[in-house]
This record gives sequence, C-alpha cells and structure tokens, in this order.
Amino acid sequence: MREKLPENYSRGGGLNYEMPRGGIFKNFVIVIFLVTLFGLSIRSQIVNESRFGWGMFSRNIEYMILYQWVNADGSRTLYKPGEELQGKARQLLPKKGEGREVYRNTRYDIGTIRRWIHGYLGYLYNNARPTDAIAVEAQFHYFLDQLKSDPTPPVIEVISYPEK
Amino acid sequence: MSDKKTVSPLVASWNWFWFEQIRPHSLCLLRIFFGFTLFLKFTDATGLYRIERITVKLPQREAWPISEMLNAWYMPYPWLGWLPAPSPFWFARLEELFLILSVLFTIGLFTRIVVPLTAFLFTYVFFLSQWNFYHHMVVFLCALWPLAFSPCGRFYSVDALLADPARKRETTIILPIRMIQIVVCVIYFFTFVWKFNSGWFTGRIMQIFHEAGSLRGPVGAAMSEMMSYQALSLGTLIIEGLLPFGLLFPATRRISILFGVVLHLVIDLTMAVNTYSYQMMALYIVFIYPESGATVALYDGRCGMCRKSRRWVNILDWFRRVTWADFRDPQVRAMVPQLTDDKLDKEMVVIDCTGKILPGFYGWRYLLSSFPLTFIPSFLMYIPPIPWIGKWIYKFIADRRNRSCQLGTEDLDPNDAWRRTLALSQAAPDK
Repeated sequence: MREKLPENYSRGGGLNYEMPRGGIFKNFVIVIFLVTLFGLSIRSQIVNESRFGWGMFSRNIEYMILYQWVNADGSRTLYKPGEELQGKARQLLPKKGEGREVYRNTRYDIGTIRRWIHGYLGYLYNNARPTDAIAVEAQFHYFLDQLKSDPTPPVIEVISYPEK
Repeated sequence: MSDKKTVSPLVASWNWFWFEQIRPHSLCLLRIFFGFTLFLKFTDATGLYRIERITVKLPQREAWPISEMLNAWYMPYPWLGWLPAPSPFWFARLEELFLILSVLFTIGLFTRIVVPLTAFLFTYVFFLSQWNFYHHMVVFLCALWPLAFSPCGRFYSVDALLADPARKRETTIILPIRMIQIVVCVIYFFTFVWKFNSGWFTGRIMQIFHEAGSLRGPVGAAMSEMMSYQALSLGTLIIEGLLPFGLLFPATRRISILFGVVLHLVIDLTMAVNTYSYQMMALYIVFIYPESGATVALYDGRCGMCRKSRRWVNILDWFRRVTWADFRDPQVRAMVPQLTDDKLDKEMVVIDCTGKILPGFYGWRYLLSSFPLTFIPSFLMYIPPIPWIGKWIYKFIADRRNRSCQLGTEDLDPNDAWRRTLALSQAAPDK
C-alpha cells in the first residue's frame, strides 16, 4: 500500500486509469457500506441506543423493572417474570431473599435498555398474556451515572406494550 | 469490464484508495489472528484479569447469554420474523459448528467456503438473537464479511500449501482492507463521542465502575488505588479520541497502534469485555503494509553473528515483515548504489517499505517495532538517552564482529516486495 497517491495520478488535470472489473458494483458496495456504518452510528446517537453505534461503557445505569398486566377494567396485576426465562436470563432475576426490588447494572445506555424491555414485553404479550389483559407494562426505575452515596431517588418510566 | 478512460484526480484518488492492487498478505494474517479471537469466543478463554482461572471449554455453553434466552424468548426484528429460529437443540449444534469453523478459519482450510459460511451463520444468529446488543459481536460481523469476500486464504494457510504456487503472484484490490480500516476508525471515533459526557470528564464513571466491582483482578485493584479516577477516564478518552486520526495517517500510525494496544491490554486486565480487546488488537493488522517482506534488512553475508541475528529475528517476525538480503549479492548491491561499501560493511542497514534508509541502531529499532512481541518494548528505544547508548553499543558490537565466517547467500525471489523497496530507497532520504 503506497501511503500517498502516486504523482502521475494528479498530473495535468486528468489521467488514464483502468477501472477495476465490476467497478460500478464495487462502488455501489462501498457507498452502501459507508452509509450503513455512519448512518447507524449517527442513529444510535440520536435515539440514545448504543447498539451498532459503539456506545459501550459511555454511561452506567443501575436499573430495576417491575412488570404488570393491564386488565380490561383498568386494574393492574403484578407479574413476576421467571417461568419463561432460562439460563443467564433467569440468573439475572432476584435471588431468594433478595426481594423483588433488586437493581442491576448496564452500560449500554438508556435507549438500549428501553428497546430490550420493549422486546420482552412484546414476547410476554404475545406468548403469556392472561385472557383478561389488554396490555403489559414495565415500571422502569433507574439511576444514571449515580454513585451509591448519592441520595437522589431513581427516575421512573413506564413502558407499555402495545404502545399507547 | 476493462475500460481505459481519463478521469479527474478526485476520481483517481477514490479509485486508488479503494481499488489499488496489492498482494493480500496482511488480510491472510488478519484471518489467522481474527480467527483465533473467534476460537476464544467459542471457548470462553478470555479475560486477562482472571488469567489464573481461565479454562478452555469445548464448546462453552454459558457465556452466550442468548443461547439460554433462546430457550424461551428472543427478539427478532419484525422484518426478519420469517426466519426460522433455532431450537435449543440446534442452537447447541450451531455452537459446535462455530467452534469447528473457527479452527478451520484460523488454519485456513477450505477458506473459500469456511469464511463466507462463518459470516453467514454468524449474521443469522446475530439478527435472530440478543447478539445484536453486544458490541464485540458487531465487530465480528464487520470484519467477517470483508474477509468472506477476499482471498484471505491465499497465504499462511493450509489452502496455500495445497494450491498452485502461481496463484500467490496474483494481486487483488485493497477494498476489504480499507473497509476494515474505516470500521476501526469509526469505532474509536463514535466510542469517543459517546463518552463525551461529564461522567467521563470528571472521572465519576470510573468511581462508579469501581463501586460496582467492574474493575477486576489485581491490576484493576492496583490501578484504582494508584491512579485517580479522573486520570483513568481522561486517559481513556484522550486515547480513544486520538486513535481514529492517528491510525488514519501513516506518520502517526505506529505510535497510535502502541497506544491502542496498551489501552486494550489494560482494559482486558481490568474489566470483563469478552473478546473485544483481542478483536481490536487483531484488527490493527489492517494498518500494516499489506505485502510481506517489504522491509529489507541488508546484512553482511560473511558475518556469522549477522546470520544468528537473522535467525532470532525470523522467530520474532510473525507477520513476515522482513526480507534479509546479503549486500554482497551482486543483484542486491546493484540496487542500492547510494550506499557505500564502507557504510554497508560497518553496520546493518534496514530499508522500510517507503524506501527510507535506517542504519545500525535505527534499523534494529525499526525491526523490533515491527514484531508483535517486541512492539511495545521497542518504543523505549526512543526515550533519551537510550538512542545515544544504543548507537554506542551497536558500534561496539559491530566493530568486533567476526567476519571470517563464509556463508552462502539466500535465494531471493526476483518478484518480491524487497525489489520495489530497494528501488524506492534510491530516492528516499537517509536517516
């Protein structure tokens, strides 16, 4: 690989250059590649989701999620996830004696975990919905970049499926 | 389509950047080292912070969170919902297949099938599972596809041993290398942009990591005691901010790779980041000169010590960077008329791939910075007064070497990169 353009390439305002075989297709691939790479990276900035955007370890989020079914009459029924989870997903559930409100850590930024919760809610809604439930909700409690000594209360968001 | 036409300098620059013809040694080296990171991934043999506890699992089942999650639920993209998701049984078979493929990938057997198949299967599981939440998985994807469409098995592979040697003369376009170079620069750039927040400026994020037990192992504990959190976070931020530009420009590439390697080693010594650090270090291979043997070491073929040195250097030269040429060989001597017999007789001369001439100590320093094992220590040789002492020691040894040993000369390949390097050196400045 020459580290700079050979001199004869830039002489006289033009030059003879033999196009590589399949040059148009290869240029098309390059453009798609660049648009995808930069497009996904910029998108991840806009939607605060680190996926495909190289946002690992940018923030620390301590979070806890409570799930509940929304019944047709407007009442809520708390749902304890677990039966449908296995392996590592099950390991992340509160252990015996830890109670329900156990906080976990993630470094994939807030948009990623919202997407993650939304995906899980979608799974629950489509595969484990009680007959009288019309939606499933997640109460998402989190601390963003917060030291343990900091007394600020958690931020609470409600994520629903289907979205309101 | 072979269409000869006149194009503007801009188009010519574009074509040169993406389509320059090269011999793809560096891509083949990347296949080996990146394939090895795949193997590490599928055996869970990662994490220098827990080096005393690392065990190789063949295949490992637990470190793929999605493998278990798939037992119950997964999150396919709606537009990929039509794809069949593997059952736990088939997912386990896929893990075993990936392990076998990673070995074939690394040794370079059936490369034309193995590399695209690995890329395809990887993409399939990636989009059907939570793999797409993991950055090191995205890095795998970004490197696997350019490799899948490149002749990455042409050298340093079992395929190369079995194939027609004439194929090694064929050139290919630089496109896959450029793509991976850009991926690496984009990763660092956007990692830096993401971290451009008060947590990283103040060092608070490192304190949080420490509190959460994320700084692990003896190095993690020592670092959090010896260095301020702000120094750690700012150091990371500065390196990640400078790397995309440093890697882009040839003049700053070596020092950038040094900082990158140190950064990733420290990260892997202190945090659980799976194969991410190894992948990034392996990807630096795309920033080295693509063709092997382009650095020429002109040595004295009558000198036994030179011969021994060459043997040692060859052991260290994993990337096959150096061609050793006896300057007493008439065809070699004719190509370096700018160097006098006296100069060549006094000291070994190294000519880098741009044609720059580096005599004695400087040549050795350059060689050592070209080898993986000596890469980091070689930079100590830039710190004063080591160059001054080094030159003195080199001269002391060179003056006392034994010239009585008559040795045969190496057979040099007439078409290899060394010939172009020597031609370039005639116009390049001396150190």
